[in-house]
Amino acid sequence: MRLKRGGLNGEGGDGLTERYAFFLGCLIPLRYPGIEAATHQVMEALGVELVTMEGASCCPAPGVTRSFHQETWLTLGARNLALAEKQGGELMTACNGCYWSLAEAAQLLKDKGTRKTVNQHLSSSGMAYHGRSRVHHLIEVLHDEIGVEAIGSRVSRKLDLKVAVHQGCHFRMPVGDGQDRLERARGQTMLDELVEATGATSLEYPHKEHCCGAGGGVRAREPELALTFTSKKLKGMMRSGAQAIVNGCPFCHLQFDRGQKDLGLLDADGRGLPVIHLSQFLALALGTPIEQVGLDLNDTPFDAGRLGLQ
Amino acid sequence: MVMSSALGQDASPFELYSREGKGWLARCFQCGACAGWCPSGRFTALNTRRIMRQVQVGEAGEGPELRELWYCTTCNSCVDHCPARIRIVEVIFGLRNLAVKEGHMAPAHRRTARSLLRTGHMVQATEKNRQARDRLGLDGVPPTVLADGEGLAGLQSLCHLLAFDVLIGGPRAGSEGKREDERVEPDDETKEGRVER
Repeated sequence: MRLKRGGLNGEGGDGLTERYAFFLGCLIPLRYPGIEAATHQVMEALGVELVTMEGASCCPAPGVTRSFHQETWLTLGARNLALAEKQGGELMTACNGCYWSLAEAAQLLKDKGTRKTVNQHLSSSGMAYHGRSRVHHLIEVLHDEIGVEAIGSRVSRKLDLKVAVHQGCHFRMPVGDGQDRLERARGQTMLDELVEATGATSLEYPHKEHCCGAGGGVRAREPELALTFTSKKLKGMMRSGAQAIVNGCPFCHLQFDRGQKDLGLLDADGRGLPVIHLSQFLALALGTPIEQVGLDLNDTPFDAGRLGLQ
Repeated sequence: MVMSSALGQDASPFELYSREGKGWLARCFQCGACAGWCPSGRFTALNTRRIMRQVQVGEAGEGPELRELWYCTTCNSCVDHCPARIRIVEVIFGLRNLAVKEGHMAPAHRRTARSLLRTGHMVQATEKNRQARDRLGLDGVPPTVLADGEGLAGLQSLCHLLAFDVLIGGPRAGSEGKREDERVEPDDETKEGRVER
């Protein structure tokens, strides 16, 4: 069933992954816990063991931390990678921001000199990172290790919806950082394939590959600029006839979810485009009761009846 | 901001990673692909091509460009399309580090950084969220540093060791005291607040 290793970084063998250390981050456990619950439901349904990491912190988010002080960013990232290493080293996240931050940190920490410096810091709290953790995104685990067909064969609630897929910028490392252009291009369709495995249609829409606007500290510091990006994306999605947005990142999720209200794009009844994280979308397709994926926590209302879901 | 020192031989590798040595900046031949692909550059004065040139000649980050540095969403479009394969976003991070060192720090970002120092997370835990977690069958307090006092103390001591606490002007790590501008705003507790990161 498992076809190919998805991890881009760290060192390790080619054996099958028995279990993943689930790295929560901040937005998933503290704003959209439905994504956390749904990720567990999906992995359980697909027979993959997922153990939540204990004692982990923010990845830490590059937009502020790496912008402020790269050495602190890398050291706190190494702390999280060290915790994952103790749990078997196969870290999985459902957040693009955590993915990019930790995957870049893991890449930089392959360098022995850099690792030595960072380990000198970590030793003050009795920790060490040996360079063995590998960072995976939920999308990679589902697509590369479990496989689109295997997931499709388990679908019990067909989601006959027209979906605007937003993959987000930080799901893959940029070209040159551990992957070539072909690999990067391949990555651009992974989320669409997973969405279509459920019976849904992934629509083409203007600016599909664009950033949601939130990253890099822009949402906090320049909120209007962030919304300019978001508006362009949302209008393209709406014009294309999408019934829902499916994303692979809680920060993009938040930007589209709250952005619709901020931009005045909700209709007179307060309705807009429901925003659904991949974990929630797949949990629904695999038969999880609607109330157990936490879509009621969205700002832009999720109306299951309107989408024809029961 | 004097860029030449930061990009020269005396630069700390943590101020600007240059995994391929100093030669990588020289590889920029000003083709402008970065600026052409920059989504932020379509809406703002951010001009990555110009920033790359100024970095090469040691003049980046002066005047109005200081603000432009913060218009980058780090989307990596520029890196993806750079024919010289320069990690342009890494240059932006390096320049931001230098700007911050000189005290240029937006209040919203400073608050977020202090949240990291105080709680280990950039988003505050709320009662509403705890109840939602309960309903979903999850632990009310996530099993992160939020439920691990020792882990949080370790994280704070790392921030102290690296003088991150001093950089962001927060209280000494582990200190109980909160600065005036660091109190949790009512908005953070009741209405979920703005998520800043």
